[in-house]
Amino acid sequence: MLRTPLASERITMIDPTTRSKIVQITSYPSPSAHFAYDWPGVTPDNARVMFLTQRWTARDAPWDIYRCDTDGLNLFQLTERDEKAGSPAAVLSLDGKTIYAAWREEFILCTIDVETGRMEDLLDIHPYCPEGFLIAGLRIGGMGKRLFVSFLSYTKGGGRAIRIDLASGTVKVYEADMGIYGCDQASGRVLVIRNFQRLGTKMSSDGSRVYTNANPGPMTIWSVDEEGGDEKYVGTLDMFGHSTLLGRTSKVQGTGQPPHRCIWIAEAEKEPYKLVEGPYFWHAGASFDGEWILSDTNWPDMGLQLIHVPTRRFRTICHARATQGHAQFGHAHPGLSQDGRIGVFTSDRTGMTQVYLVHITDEFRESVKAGELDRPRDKWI
Amino acid sequence: MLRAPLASERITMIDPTTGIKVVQLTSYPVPSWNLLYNWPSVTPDNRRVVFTSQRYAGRTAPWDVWRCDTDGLNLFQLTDRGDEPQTLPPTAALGPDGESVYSVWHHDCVFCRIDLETGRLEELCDLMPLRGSERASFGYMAFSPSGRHAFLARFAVPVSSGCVKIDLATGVADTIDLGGLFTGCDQARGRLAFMASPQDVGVIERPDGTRMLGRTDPASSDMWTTDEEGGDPRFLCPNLFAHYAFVGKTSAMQGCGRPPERCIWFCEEGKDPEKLVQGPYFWHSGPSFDGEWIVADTNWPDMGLQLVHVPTRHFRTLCHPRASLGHPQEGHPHPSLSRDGRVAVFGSDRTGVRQVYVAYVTDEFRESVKAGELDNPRDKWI
Repeated sequence: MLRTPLASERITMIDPTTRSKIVQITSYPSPSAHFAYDWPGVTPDNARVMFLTQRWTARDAPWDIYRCDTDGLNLFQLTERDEKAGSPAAVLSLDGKTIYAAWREEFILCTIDVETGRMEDLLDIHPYCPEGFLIAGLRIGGMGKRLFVSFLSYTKGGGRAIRIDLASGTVKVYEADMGIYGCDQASGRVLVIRNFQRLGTKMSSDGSRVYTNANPGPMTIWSVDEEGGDEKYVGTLDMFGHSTLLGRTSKVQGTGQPPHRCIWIAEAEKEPYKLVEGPYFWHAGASFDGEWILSDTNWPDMGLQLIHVPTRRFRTICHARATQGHAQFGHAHPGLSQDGRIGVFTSDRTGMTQVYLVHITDEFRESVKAGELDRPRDKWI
Repeated sequence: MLRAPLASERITMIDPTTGIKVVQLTSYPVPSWNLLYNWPSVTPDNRRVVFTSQRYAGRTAPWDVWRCDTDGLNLFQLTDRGDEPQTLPPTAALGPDGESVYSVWHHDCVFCRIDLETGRLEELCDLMPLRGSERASFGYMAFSPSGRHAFLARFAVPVSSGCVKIDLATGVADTIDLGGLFTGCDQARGRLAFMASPQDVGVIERPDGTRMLGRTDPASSDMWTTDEEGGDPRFLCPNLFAHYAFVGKTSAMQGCGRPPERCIWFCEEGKDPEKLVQGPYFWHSGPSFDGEWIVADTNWPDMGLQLVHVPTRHFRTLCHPRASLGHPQEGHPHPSLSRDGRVAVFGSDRTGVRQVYVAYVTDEFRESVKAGELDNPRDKWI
């Protein structure tokens, strides 16, 4: 489907402490959230952004896929699956023309044409999903020719995966315990998670409970070839709060877990190192060239930090002002466009989760490289 | 039903002026309401809290009963009753044993018991024939001291009168004519309280030309009590209250004064009413079971939730709900306490949608209230 353009919901604002221009893309009071921050949800020409919106406001309401121009106009609803379909795992193709999606209660992998909204069912993936597992994510590999589907279980622990050749439709089933972490676009290898966590709880010092990994061993990240062989150790997943591949490089970047307040860089068969240290970085997404990282911060919230990887410098780009509690819809989860010039994040600052964009100017990028502090700074030293 | 645990919606925060830990239990943007402040909605072990939540955002969307652990994990939907339009949440209360929730939805008037652990719902009795008039509804649930009976006020037009008494073991329900509006059950003696000559509420015009809902009948009304059958009426106190509830398991009634009073009244049979505390305009107040603690919200202006220590008559700001405090009920915190007074439950629409919050009342804070400490930050001697 393609519902003809809905009235623009754009609200434009200037961050009062950084002067960055922010466009609130959605403002109708039903929850909206952008695609996962490990992969750009903005088209390569930076013209459009993809995101999800609940059809109505209820915990179990279905999620539809929308697109909107990055200036906030041309808001289009692209899908309208069955009311019981739940939420989709979705990913935008490298050329920005196709969305691959699978709704978690339907288990049908489908393609959606970004321009027209035309949808095609590709594959019934239910037979490949073990009991008690859910569709965790879709990853594009093989220079856009293959799609990996990852199934994870939070109750049993562990992961399973399949690979689909998009031209022929053939399916490769991986028998080993592995969830797909990401596809290394530089080498064609695949990063996988072993010993995925089983969720349990532990008591924090103030007597309240927090979630924890109840499995005895740590989750680990490995680099493997497309057939699952030639394993190379990358690191433990538990060292990260949240992590992704560093764009199209073979490196992993991610936020440290306490007591570290840093962004780690890890790579197969190399010692990880701290790229930057400072606030507690929380979730971080990278540009395709690996030059830029955008991260939210928490405990305390110090806004979204734009990090320049070569110089290891960072600066506050804007403040998401999300609630940052337990609920996922209160997390900013910032991601970058392929060229790193548009930051995408969500915030429930209005009481309702909405999608926001921040436009990253050349001037701001240069100020990050130069090591500028945040504004207002009207004093020399 | 029991919908398997939904993802935690907890948001933990520290009140920036009092240092009290507050946990927002619900944050999905549909209205969620804490239960009425006249009775604890927290289980006796302080582990779980019961509340209601709308199934979707809509003025007439159905309401379901939910529970959540007081630390914000294990969020469960317990009921999924009917799709009919509902303009109000069900009248629900946690049973005396803390293992069941009793609830009556206004659209079908069936009194139900819901098992807190499993969500199993049992229809105990149909109250529709006892409504008395088509527009009547049931509210303000209370229990007998033994836990054998539940009582519900019968709100009717033009006159609210009496209550229904439900035998929780057999499901047999009867009406009791109290000659007034049921206002609670004395947990020490089992006597039923009612408001004689309940006031007519209508629209009155204020000096600035705006209209407000208010009392149109100048006649005074009084609080009385009867035995469990509606006999042996005894005068309790004048109706001095804006909002009221029995003081836990005692025979005293407490409640917030109406303007020009800025106090919490404390009333016992055979004694003159006393102003327990005076200061801000206390608005709605809920007590602990032992009657030692009361939590009250404040308004005009909002000065936060006040924790009142009854024996010393001292009070101090517990936290700030930052609710809108206007006309709609969803903007009122309606705070209540757990049985032991260590967990306060309140609502707030500070995010734009009403959500349920708990505040943890620490020993240290209680001692500071008893000692008459002022609010923090206070870094000066006098």
